[in-house]
Amino acid sequence: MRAAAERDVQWPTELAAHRDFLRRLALMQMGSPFEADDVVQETLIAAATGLHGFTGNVPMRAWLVGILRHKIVDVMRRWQRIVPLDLSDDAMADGHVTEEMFTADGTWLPEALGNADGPGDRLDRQQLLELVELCMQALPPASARVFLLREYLGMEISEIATQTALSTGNLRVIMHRTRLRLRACVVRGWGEER
Amino acid sequence: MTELPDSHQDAGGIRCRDAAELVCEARDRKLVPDERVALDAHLAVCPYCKVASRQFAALFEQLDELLGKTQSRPD
Repeated sequence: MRAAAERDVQWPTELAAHRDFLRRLALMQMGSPFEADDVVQETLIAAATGLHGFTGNVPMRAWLVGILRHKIVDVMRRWQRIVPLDLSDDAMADGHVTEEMFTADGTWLPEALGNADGPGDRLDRQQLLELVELCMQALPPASARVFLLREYLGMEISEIATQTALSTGNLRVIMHRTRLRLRACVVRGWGEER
Repeated sequence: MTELPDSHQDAGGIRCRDAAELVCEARDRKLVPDERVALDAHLAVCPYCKVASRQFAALFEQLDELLGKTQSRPD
């Protein structure tokens, strides 16, 4: 119902263009579609109200993503609860990720390194960012959540440990494997024609 | 698979796997001097890790832009 009601709102076109991206980002971080919709709606309301103050110093999307971050932090603060994360079904919890990138003695497998020259000019900036987003969407949900608590919300590992009831050691492993996997994913994308 | 000289494999006293871990850890905390020295020594001679660390740097920079990391609250 809420989502349907929100769709009836006529957001200014420049805001509406980013709505789907904001929702995907919020969903990765919040887990629940309802909470994601709520927080995106709050973000768009705040943005519409403050649109006259938007200076264009940063791209519109970066501005909106910044507002969304504050809204998500506010919601999590209101929760004031520990949200234990279950990583038992999370592919990142096993050692497979590192095994497929390194030899037994810990050297990079050349095939895992991918295109050594980077994307060159095969992809423009927008396509590079879309690729990072696609690769994030492909992460196991629990890992993506932990990853974004750190990379998006900027929480310290120790704070994330408290909030998720995971050990800091476990979290460091998850963070590392997530970054390894993201690197592998974007590097594969750099080598592909679009 | 092209064989690289053995010397790169434990340059700085660490392996590529450890170097990759330090490159990622540096995103969350300041490396202690011993780690910094070991990582720099490894990167100086390991062509694989030079490539990988450039890739990580590009990824992290794109991630920062995607996630609006330099943004402040508009009010």
